Amino acid sequence: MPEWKEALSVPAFGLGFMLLVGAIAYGLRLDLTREIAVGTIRTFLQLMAAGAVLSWLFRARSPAWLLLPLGAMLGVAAWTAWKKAGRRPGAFFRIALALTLAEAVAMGLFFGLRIVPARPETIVPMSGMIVGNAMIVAGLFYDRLLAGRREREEVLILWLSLGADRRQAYREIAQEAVRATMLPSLDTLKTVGIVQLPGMMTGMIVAGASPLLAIGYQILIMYAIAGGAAVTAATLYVLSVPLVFTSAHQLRR
Amino acid sequence: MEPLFRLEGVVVAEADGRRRIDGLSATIESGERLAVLGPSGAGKSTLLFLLNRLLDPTAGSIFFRGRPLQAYDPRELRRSVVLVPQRATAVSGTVADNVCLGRRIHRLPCPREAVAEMLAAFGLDTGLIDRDARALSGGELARVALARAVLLAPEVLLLDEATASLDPPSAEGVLRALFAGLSARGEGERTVVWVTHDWALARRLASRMWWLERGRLSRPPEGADEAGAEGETRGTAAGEGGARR
Repeated sequence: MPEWKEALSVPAFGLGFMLLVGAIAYGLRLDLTREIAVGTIRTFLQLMAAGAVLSWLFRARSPAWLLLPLGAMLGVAAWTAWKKAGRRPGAFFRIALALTLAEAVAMGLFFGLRIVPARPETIVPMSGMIVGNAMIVAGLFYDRLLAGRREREEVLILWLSLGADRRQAYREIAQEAVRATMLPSLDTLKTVGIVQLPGMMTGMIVAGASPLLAIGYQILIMYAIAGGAAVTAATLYVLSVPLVFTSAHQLRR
Repeated sequence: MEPLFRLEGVVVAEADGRRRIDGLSATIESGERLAVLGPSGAGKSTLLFLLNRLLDPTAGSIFFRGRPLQAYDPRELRRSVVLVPQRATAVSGTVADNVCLGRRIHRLPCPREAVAEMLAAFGLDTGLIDRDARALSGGELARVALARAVLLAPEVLLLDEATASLDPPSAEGVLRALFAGLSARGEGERTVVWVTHDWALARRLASRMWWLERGRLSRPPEGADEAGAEGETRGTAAGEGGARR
């Protein structure tokens, strides 16, 4: 397969960049040699493996096989966000649910409205972007929520001590957490095309697609990512009251 | 008659096994002004948190009006047993929003005149009413916190060093305003459980005193109080014509 030759030779030239990184790290005595070596090799192996799976998947025409990469994607993303959330008990299944919902809503809109054809070639990479971003949102949401729990404990106790419902007290920190998750995607929406050209679009143009078509898909993806982020944050907002408060409207220690 | 609160072998243990409250059995009667004294870390704040169920005991039971505390809806319980936490704090909004917070939570009306009256009673300038509450000083916030609690007309008020940010003469004035405000609002006897470090003030205003040490009621050490009070001490005097009405 000549395609394979190209797939291997292009990143092989890219190794030059990593040699540059290594040289800089060595020159500045950054003590990062191991990190750089591991990162370089893992990027190569993981993406090659993903490419091999995708190639095979795009040819296997049974849609049931799609559940495999989607499931793996959701599982790994939920796990990663859960670690960022300090491995809080009960957070994992909430994150998994939020990511699944974000993915379902995004795919439902894409394919329900026939914006893009429902094929493995579209489902898998678009899911990757939606879920990948939702993962960051979930991690950020819990990071901010638990920080709010620590920093605003006095205000939370004030609400509870007067007989407020735990949801009233929760709003005090959870709104801020949702806000924090939305700001990065909104900032990106504001600066895209001026500060940087997004990866997907760059990839499409380099691979020979028309810039206008690439931009059209890029805009779609970016809106979808913002939508997925909002669904993720809203789901976690609704589900996470018991992580901070007991059913007796007490602050969880 | 059943006491207002009955504590039976109450234990609060940390995850590491250290006991913040260590087998406390005691009663609190309706209408008391109970001052709780003791060294830092003795479990005084923990005791208050237990009484309006912001915290559940690890072992033992607490009864309120003869029923276990768990039998009450915590939100309703905290409507009648209000805690004023140690460090006064504000929610976003004006001073009026903050004074009305308790009443708003329980969907009760909170007219401006009542707010102004409360501010005046606690020695605050009524011109502050529309000011951003987060611009207030610590002492002003402490007064707002008390006004907020009194306006709910609770049966039981739990004060966790609520006047610690005030100088002693102001603290006494504020507490007297508090007792007067409580009696003026609502029917029946009002009970105050009040954590403090100020022996002299406690002697003047409390109807009974507890000395809490290492999570237990005990005798205060020699010199803790010049008078050498017993572990559980009847207040010698009472302001405003007798604390025990």
